[in-house]
Amino acid sequence: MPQKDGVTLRDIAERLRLSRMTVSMALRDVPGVAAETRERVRRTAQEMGYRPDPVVSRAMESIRLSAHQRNPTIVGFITHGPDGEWRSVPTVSQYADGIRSRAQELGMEVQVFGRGEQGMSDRRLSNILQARGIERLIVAPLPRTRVGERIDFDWERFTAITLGQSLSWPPMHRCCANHFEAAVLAYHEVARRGYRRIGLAVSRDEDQRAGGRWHGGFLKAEVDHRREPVPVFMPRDWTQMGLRDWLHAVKPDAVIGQSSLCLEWIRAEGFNVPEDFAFACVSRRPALRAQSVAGIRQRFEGIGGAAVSLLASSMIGNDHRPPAHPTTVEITGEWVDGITVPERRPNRAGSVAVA
Amino acid sequence: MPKSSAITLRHIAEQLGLSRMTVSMALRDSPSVAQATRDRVFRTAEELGYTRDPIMSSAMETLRRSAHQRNHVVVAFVTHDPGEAWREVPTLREYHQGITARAEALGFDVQVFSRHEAGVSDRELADLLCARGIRSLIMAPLPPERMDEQIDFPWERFSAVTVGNSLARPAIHRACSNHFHAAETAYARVADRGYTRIALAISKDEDRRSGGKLHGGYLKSQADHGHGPLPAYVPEKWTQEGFVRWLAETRPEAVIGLGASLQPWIESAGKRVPQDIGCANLSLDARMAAAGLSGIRHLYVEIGAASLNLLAGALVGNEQGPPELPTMVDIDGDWHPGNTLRERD
Repeated sequence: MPQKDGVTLRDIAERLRLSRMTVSMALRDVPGVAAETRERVRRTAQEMGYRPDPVVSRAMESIRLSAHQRNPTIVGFITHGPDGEWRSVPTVSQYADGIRSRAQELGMEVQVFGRGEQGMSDRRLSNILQARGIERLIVAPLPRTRVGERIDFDWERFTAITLGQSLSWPPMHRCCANHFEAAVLAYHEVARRGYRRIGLAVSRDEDQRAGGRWHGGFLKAEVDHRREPVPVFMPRDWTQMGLRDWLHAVKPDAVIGQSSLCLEWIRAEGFNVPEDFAFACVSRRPALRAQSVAGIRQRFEGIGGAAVSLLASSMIGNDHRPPAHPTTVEITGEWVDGITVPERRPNRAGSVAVA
Repeated sequence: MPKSSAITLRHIAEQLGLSRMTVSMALRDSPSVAQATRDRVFRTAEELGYTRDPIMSSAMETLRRSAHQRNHVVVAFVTHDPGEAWREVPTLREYHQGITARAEALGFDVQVFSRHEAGVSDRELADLLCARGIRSLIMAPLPPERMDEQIDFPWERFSAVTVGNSLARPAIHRACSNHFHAAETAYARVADRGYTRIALAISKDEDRRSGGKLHGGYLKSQADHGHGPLPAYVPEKWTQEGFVRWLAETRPEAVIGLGASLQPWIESAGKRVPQDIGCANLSLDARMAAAGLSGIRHLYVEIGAASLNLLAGALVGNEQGPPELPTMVDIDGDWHPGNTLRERD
């Protein structure tokens, strides 16, 4: 192995007449070393061909930490409401389960923090996290009503990953469901059960939250299946009346919709599912399980777990501060059968009957 | 959160009346410890809630190994072309550059291996990697004409990730360009210049390679801009005759497409770029960008770096073989203005 071996922190320290601790801190970008010194150490390290041993240098840090506190690395899970409000949001609690179990596998510990708890400001919470030495954060998605909100943390101090698409600032690595794949897969599964006239009903806001991928996936699947285009229902104002009018005008034999609310409205308007048309959910909420609604089950636990893995990988690199090129990690969901999309068979007259 | 971290090897050893070394070896499933003892140790470790510190234990392993050989972790970048042929492909060079840069920051070494050496099967290549102690690899994308190729690799012996979309099976972690975003961005920039009849031309292979996202992003943008549908040219066989015929039938004001042949083919139909037809490319390599073509410049260097991050994550988690939940990292490309679109009137 070609390796300029033997260059150690000690060598750099001797050359610069600094303590090893200073060199170590400078290379790890720990505050407390003058910017000028830090620069000098970096330059010298580079000239001398110093290379950190990845796993070992992380381990050294672990040891250093545990000398003070016999604790594993802590991951802060940042939620947006006080008093464990997040627990009542099924997707967020599934994310949390995934985060916990993956963290445990990796020997890390998860602590949950609620923004706004006891009237605490973001700045204050940011300081507390720092004071406790918590540098790795996973940020829960913002509630629907608070999209666009900025989180006023000292982001330079943290390695952070957010879940879902709702948080747009600062630029951050992201783990979310593969919405494009979800729409394509839902269309495909509905089509192969014999449905011809498949419509899409999602609110414009929710599609935007999904990065436009639901609409895009739907259009692509429609073209690939060589179907006559069915006008989508994708209004800014997402109302029961609008949905009813669209159903009457478009007469779909199957609807790919965004939520259980959509199905409730359909039923409230006097339609029978699946007798009048089939219904599949493009992002099935856990609550839909009991009702046996067909659709795409997103793997929220898997997404939470992936976020922890991503944190672990940036841990070795010591990448604090917002990334120059934020990446999006996507996880594909799976189709779940349900009574709302039964198999159809063509009958003798050529029309189609529910099996 | 249970504080299982307080349980150490020593606790397990004391409880069972074994030496710490035996417990350590048993937990590493060493064959030099009797199976019954290993089972006993595992059971006890579980009961006591022992979790190994992954960073520490892989560090220990590295230290153990480096006592014999002072090696860094070596990552294999596996290409599909013979010898050094990959260096002729600008995209692969950029992937490699990103992988190497990130590897250096993390203290890994990168070595390139080819699946295409004379007389060496995939299995033999895998054996060779293992013999050299290389257990982590990044698989380069398959060339377009070989996308259906099966790679007969014992994946379970490696932590493996891939770059690009071409490797369909097995499903492993991947880093790739954000194709949906590329199509959306290209469409928006073309529409900004006042074009409304904007058509798409990509081969069926490229469409599949992008997971349908190039076409999907195009369709979504067209709908959002309220532009009428135009028949896209997405043929199984990508030919000049087919393209020119489609161009004459569709009469677009601008073409969004892929490949170096796009502009010459438009010109072969007697149309000038950009005076008669505008042209935006969904993937510009360094040469095309330097030649002044308008389009999307994918950040292959960053994609390479992201693939190494994925690999590091898999290593820390001690993941081998295809993961239960494969993840995909998308990286947005940049718009390169170029001069193959007309200025806005």
